[in-house]
This record gives sequence, C-alpha cells and structure tokens, in this order.
Amino acid sequence: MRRSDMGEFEEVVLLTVAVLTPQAYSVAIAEDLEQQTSRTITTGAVHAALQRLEDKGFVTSHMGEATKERGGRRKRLFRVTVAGSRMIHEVRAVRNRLWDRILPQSLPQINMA
Amino acid sequence: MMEGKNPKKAHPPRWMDKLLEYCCAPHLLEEVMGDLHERYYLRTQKVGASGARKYYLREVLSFLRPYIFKRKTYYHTNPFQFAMVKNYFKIAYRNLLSKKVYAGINIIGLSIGMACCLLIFQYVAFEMSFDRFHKNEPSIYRILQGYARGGEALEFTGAYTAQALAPSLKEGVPEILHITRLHSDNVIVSNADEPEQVFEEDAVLYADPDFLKMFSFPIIAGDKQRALEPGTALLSQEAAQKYFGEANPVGQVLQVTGQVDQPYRVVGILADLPVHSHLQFEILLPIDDLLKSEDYLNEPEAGWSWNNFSTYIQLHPAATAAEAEQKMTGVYLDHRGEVLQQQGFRAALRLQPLRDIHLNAEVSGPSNEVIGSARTVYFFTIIGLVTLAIALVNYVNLSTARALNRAKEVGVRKVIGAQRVQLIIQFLCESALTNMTAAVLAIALAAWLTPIVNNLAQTQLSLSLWMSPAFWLAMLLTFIVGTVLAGLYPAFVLSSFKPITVLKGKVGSFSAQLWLRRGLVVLQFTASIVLVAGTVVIYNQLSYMRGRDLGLNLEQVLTIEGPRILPEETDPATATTTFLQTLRRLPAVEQAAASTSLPGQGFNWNGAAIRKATDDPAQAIRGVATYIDSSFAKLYGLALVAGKGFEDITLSDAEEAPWMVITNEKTTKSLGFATPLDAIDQMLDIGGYEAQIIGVYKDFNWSSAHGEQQNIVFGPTSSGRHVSLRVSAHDLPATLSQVQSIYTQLFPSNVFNYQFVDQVFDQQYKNDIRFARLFTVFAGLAIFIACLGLFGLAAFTSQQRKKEIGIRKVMGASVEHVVALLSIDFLKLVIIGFVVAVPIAWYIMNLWLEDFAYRIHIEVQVFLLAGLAAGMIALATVSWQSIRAAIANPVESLREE
Repeated sequence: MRRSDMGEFEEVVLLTVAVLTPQAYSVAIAEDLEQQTSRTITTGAVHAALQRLEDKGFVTSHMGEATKERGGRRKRLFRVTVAGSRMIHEVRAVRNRLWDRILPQSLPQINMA
Repeated sequence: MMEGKNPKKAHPPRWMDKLLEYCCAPHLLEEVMGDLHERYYLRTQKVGASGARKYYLREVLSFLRPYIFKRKTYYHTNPFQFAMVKNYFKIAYRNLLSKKVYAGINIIGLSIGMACCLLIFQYVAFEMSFDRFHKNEPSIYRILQGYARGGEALEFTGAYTAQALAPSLKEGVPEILHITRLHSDNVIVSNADEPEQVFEEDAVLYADPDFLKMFSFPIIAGDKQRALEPGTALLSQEAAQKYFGEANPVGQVLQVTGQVDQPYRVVGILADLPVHSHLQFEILLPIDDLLKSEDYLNEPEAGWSWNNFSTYIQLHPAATAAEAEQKMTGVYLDHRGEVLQQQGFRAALRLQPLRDIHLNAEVSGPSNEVIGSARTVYFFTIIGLVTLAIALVNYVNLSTARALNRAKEVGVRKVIGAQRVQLIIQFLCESALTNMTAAVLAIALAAWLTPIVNNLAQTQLSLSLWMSPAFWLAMLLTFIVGTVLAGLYPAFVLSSFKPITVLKGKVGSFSAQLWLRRGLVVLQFTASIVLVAGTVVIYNQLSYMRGRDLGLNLEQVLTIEGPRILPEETDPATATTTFLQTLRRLPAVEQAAASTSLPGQGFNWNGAAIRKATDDPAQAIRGVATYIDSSFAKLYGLALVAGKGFEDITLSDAEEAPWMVITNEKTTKSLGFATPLDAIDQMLDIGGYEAQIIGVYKDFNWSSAHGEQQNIVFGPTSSGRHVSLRVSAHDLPATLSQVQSIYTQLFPSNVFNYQFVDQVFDQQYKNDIRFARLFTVFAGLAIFIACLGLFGLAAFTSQQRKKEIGIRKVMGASVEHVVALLSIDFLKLVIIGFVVAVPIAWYIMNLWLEDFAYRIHIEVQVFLLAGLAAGMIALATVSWQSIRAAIANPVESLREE
C-alpha cells in the first residue's frame, strides 16, 4: 500500500469521479464536493487534482460534448482506471480494518445526525 | 432571469479571461475556459451575477498553477525531420536557380569577401607563426638593454649587447640553462679548392655552441658533435649546393674573409631554414673564431665596450623570467653600473620572449632578422573582417527586400502546419547553401589569388597552410558565422508573417526593415569610403615621402662597394684613392667620392654620446656619425650654413687628433649653440674622442621619413669603402661595364657590387609600398562588393516600382525624371555614409600617419575625392538599373493584371 501516492483531496476527488461516471468532469465534481462538504471548492483545485490523478494513471479522460453554458467549449470527462479502482479499494480496506479494531469505548461518544 | 435583463452580466469579466488566455497553455485552454464559464453560469443561477463575479476571480486564480503555464514542447512534429531538411535544401536550390541575379550577387560577394578573409588569415597566421617551430620556444628569450637618463623611463628598444655579457651571465645567473651570442656578418666566401670563384654572403651567422641546443635547426648530415667547434662551419642545403655542387660538402673547406680571414671545415649540413624563422642565415660559424680577430681581442673595457651582439638565453624550465631578469640586471650592473653612472645613465636588462621578436618592429637588433609589423597585421585583420561584413550585409539586404516575394510561400507553409522554428530552419538552410557555395568558390579564388598577392605584395603566403587543421577550423567558423549572421535576421522576418494577412495579399508595414536596410547600406558605404579615403591618404603620404626634398641630391648616383680583400701591400686608404682617381678619368663619371656609409643605409656609429668638451658628461646628447671624404659633400649637394667643408682643408690634417668634424644644424641646436656660426671651432667630446667643429651643414634627410631628424656628425676619412659616382645618364650600361672592368682589374678576387643610391633609398619604403598595394586591393574589393549589393537593391526597387514607373510615363514623366526618382534614394544613403565616414577615416588615418616623423596633413580634398569616387561608382551602379526601368515601354508593365 502506497498511501503517500495519493492525498486526501485526491482520494475524495477519485471517489467522486467514480460516483459521477459517466458524467464526471471538473465542474460537476467541484459542485458535488461543495454540496457534500459545505466548503467552497474551486474548479482549479479539482482540475489540478484530476491532472495529478491522470498522471499517476488512476483516471483516464476524453473530450466530451460542448454545451451552451460553456460557451460552446468541450468538457473533459474522466473515468476511473483499474489501477485507480485497486487504489480506492485498498484505501477502503485499510480504513475498514482499522474501524473494525477500534474498541467501542475508545472513541468519545458524539451525536451523528 | 437576470441573464435576460442584462446579457452582459451573463458573461464573466473579459479581462480575467484575457489573463487566463495569456497564461494558460494552448492545449489546456479549451477545457479550462469551458469549466470556468460553466461554473460561472451555475453560480449566477444560485447567487446571482454579482456573487458569481466575486467568485470568478478566485476561480481564475485557482487555476494559476505551474502545470497550467507549462507549454507542450512541440505540438506537431519535430522540426528536424530529415525529409523536411532535404526539402528545405531542394527549395533553396530551386530558389537560387530561379533568381540567378540575386543568387549571383550573393554568392560572388560572399566568395570575394571570404577569399579576402582567407588570404588575410593566411597572412596573419604566417606572421603569427614566426619562431613557433622551436621545441624550446616557450623558454627562449632575447636580452634587451634599456637605458635612461635622470627621471626618464627606461627605453628597451635595442637588442645590442657586448661580447662580455654572455659569459658573465652564464656564471652569475643559475636560471640560465643555455646562452648564446649571435652576430650576423657580410663576408666573402669561396670554396678553398676554387679560390677564383668568390661569393659575397650577407647571411652568415656567428654563434656560441649552445645555439644548436636551444634552437631547433636540425643537422641533416655530418657530425653533430663537432658543430660550432672552432674552425668548423655548418651550411644550409642551399649554400652547400652553391659552393660544392653535387659533391659531398661534409669535410670540404670554405675560405671566409670578413673581420677574420680563415678557412673553415664543413662538418654538417643544416636543413634549409623555415621561412618563418626571424633568424635567417646560410652559413653558421663559431663565434669564438670571430672574437679571435685583432679588433675584438683588443676591445677596450674588457669586451664591454661594443654592443655588436645579440644575446639569446634559454631559461631552466622551473625559472621565471621576472626573477631571471632581476638577477641578470644585477650581474650587468656589477660590471657596468659605475661606468654608466659616470655617463649619467641608468640601465637594466629585460627579456623579450622569442615569439614576440618578429612582430616587434620597435626593437632593433644586430642580427639579420625578419621583422614584421604588428600594426599591419591588425590593419589587415580589420579590413578582412570589414570586407566579409559588407558581403554579409548584401545577403541580409537582398533577402529582406525580397521577403515580399516569399510571403505567400510562408503563408501557405504556415497554414499547412509549419511552425515558426521550422521556417527559421528553412531560411537558415538557404543561407547555408549560399554560404557553402561561396565558401567553395572562395577557396578556389584564394588559391588562385595567392601567387598574385605574393607577387604584388612580396609576401610569402603558401598554400601549405591549408594542410593545417587550424585553417579548416577557421574556414568552418567563417562558414557558420556567415550562415548565421546572414541568415538569422531574414529568417526571423520571413517567418514572422501572419498567414491570414499575407494570403489575403496584404503585407504589413515593412518600414522597420526598410530602415534597417538603409542603415546597412549606409554602413557599407561608410566602410567603403573610409577604405577609399585611406587609400588616397596612403598614396599621398607615399608620394610625399618619396618625392620630398631630402637636401641630398641622389639622382644618377651609382655606388660601388669597395674591396674586402685587398691586394698585397695595399692599405685601405691607398686602395680607395687609386680607385677614385682611376674612376675620375672615365668621361661618364662627373664626380666621385668615398664614405663609410650611404644615404638610406644608416650610420656607422649609432648612439654616440656627444657633448661640448666643457660640459658635464651627464649632459651629453645622443647622435650618429659617419665618415666622408672631401668630395662627398659636393657630390651629394650638401649645403654649408657656416664654417668650412672637408674640401676646404687637407683631409689628412682633419684625420689627426683632435678630429675635425662637420655637423648638421640640428646638432648645434641640440648642443645649445644659439646659431650655427657660434658652433664653429668649438671643441666637442664625441664618445670620449676629442673633436672640433669646422663646419655646419643645412639639415638634410639621410634616412626614411619614418624617423625624426637626428644629430648627425660627419668625420673625415680617406679610406671609405663605399664609393659614390655621379654619372651622366648617357649610355649607362657602357659606363657600368667600364667601372666593373676597372674594379676587377684593381681588386681581383672581390665581388663587384653596384647600386643606384636613389633606388636603395627607396628600398626603405618597401614595406610602405607593400602596405599601400595590399590596402588598395582590399579597398577595391570592398567597394566592389558594396556595389554588387547596391546593384541588387536597385534592380529590386525598379522591379517593385515597375507599375508606378509605367503610370508615371503614361502621364508624361520624362526618362530623366524617372532615372532621378530611382537614383536619388540611393545617393542620399551614400551621402549619409560619406558624412559618417569622414571623421572615422580622419581618425584612423591620423593614427596610421603617427608612424611617420615626416607626414602629410590630411586635407579636405582627400575626403571629397573619396566621397565623389564612391558617389560616382554608386550612381553608375544604380543608374544602370534605373535607366533600364525608365526606358522600358510602359505598355509592358501595365498590360498585365
């Protein structure tokens, strides 16, 4: 497992790509993340993360259709590759194992809505 | 809804888009811009336009990351594709063929420019290569002796040293590995078996045995061990052939008559000397034999008196020249310090590196030396580069002028997908092809011109230099520099065209290039006018020098060198007197005189310390002396301003101590006499000898115009070896043969040598004449190349304005009017060039004239002449084209389209 290969933000972006496929592109991802985290997420940050993920081989991209909102410009659509899939599965497995090993009394109680 | 009310607000701020367009790499721009706009649109839906705008800046800034800026290196193809480069050369070749005039102008101009450069490179390389062939060259030095008086700086201008210097230095300075004295002499030589066959040798060198250890003059036959032992001689191959023909020279005997008369056994043969050796000799003899002569054995002050030798040393590898210099000066002053102090001099020794000797004309030495001029080398290097630059300017001018014709090609190439880099490479390839062709032609041209230049300028350029890698490196460098300098600017201009503009048929403003072109033409003509003005100044100075009134009448004066080998029981004085008397009987001989030296051939005593007998020795002035008989002054037309000449007294009285001497005016002034008359009968001390002034001659010029007037003293002699005859111009060959028969009758076993004194005097200007000739050749070539370029530009302009001229003619313009219209633009450039050239030429030529003590003032006429010449040549060049354009039938130019 090479956690160092992927930052937290990249992990979230990679998961969102998986969620939004086949309509995963930077604006949709940014909007989605904004909704999920109630923080302002800039398109630039997402674009940069996608660029890095593509460089690492976790996602691939192709140019999609043009829309009026985009001033007639095409969007770049992303999908998760096998390597990306393996990566998020591994991350998830690590997290799950850790959760499983936490004793119930070790975590202070909080009220999750 | 807001969008509907205010459509402007629907669009994000334009300036931020511009910022992004500028920053963002093209391959990312589409998606990034799309993302930003979509996001903006979504935001306006949610929070309205003003909110969205606030966010937008943040969004744009969030994209400013390094990867956004980074351009992909090549979007399409690698510009160095072999197929394309092949295509470039093919296109370049077709272009050359289809535009023969322009190609011809470029190639001819460049090849002449390069050939000039090559010739000059050969010359410079030759001059710089002197003495580098010696294996020990880095550690060999020549000793200079410098003197000064009082507060003056020491002047190291002479390599004259005394015979006693070398032995004391070798003993006292451990840094010295080898040391040798050298003395060149002019002697009579014969094969001892054939004493009738005598030759005069002026290239005999006497040397110490160390000489052959220091210098790389290889012995190719004979016994190395015995070389330079007393009584032995080494010959060059050429001399061996001369004296012994095909016979084996080793072991033969040569009879040498000079200061000593003795036989020498030949023990070895030297390989013929390289021409780039500053020491030149045919016969090498041991110096110990020369020092055995009575004169040297009895030399006053234990051999420290006569500075007749040059001394060369080789330092130990570990020693430094500065340290050695200091120790050597110490040793020298131990011996001479006291004597020099009495005379009021300070002195020191300095080491001159062997490689610096040839190009250092300021320092003179007693040996037979080949001395070049560093100034000439610099001058010609600059001229060569200027000539090449003028040719390169032609290329730049013609290519940018014709850019218009290539614009469509550039447009189409760009539309198909050519990148700028590719276009630049294409045009550099064209420049390379032109330069390559020119370079090949230049090599051929230089090979063809080398013997012509050698003949014209008496240089010794040889094609052997072409074998050296340095030559080809220089050639390659010239080619690359030429290609880049000529090609780069046109390549940038041509590749900058915007395809849309040029394909629509519009061509943007060319004013910047037009100005550059004009500027370059001005530069060419500035350089040409400077060169022409330089030529005029050089020839003016030359004719001034050669034609100036010397105060000596050298016309129709024949000089004969007196005998070296005297018949039995004859002393020099009797020999001279008999010879003169016999000659005077010849009807063609008007006057005859004898002296110890001749005008234009130096003096017998240089650097004599002269003072009034009553003055302190420290106040002595430096002068020169020569000895003449009682007929000399009349023959050469020397004019007395005060006192008597030797013809008015008995010469034998004058020769008795105290001497009677005659000086020139300059000497009396230098000695502090108010008028020449005051000097008469005054007693002088000349280098320790007592002398009385009996007369003063009006100042005259004994030497070339390079030198200042000197303090000259004439002493009396009745045994001068140089005989001068004023002969009638009628039937000179007959007179000569009569003189020769008298000479051989009186002095058998001597070589009859005659010269005309005016020719010998003129020999002093040999180097100046050579310089002038070479300068003229290069100036002519430079202006020719500049005119080639002007011709091309004029052809282009009249082509360009063909329609305009047609319309003008239809409207009634006359031929003269059109010619004037086309020529005036170019003439203006020549005039500007002239204005720029005048101060430059004035400055440079004054620098050149500084070398002459007697020089012309540069007059305005010189520049007017140069400017007029350049203007006329330019006008002739341009009008050829403009007249052709002007007399063309307008129908021809107007019916198309």
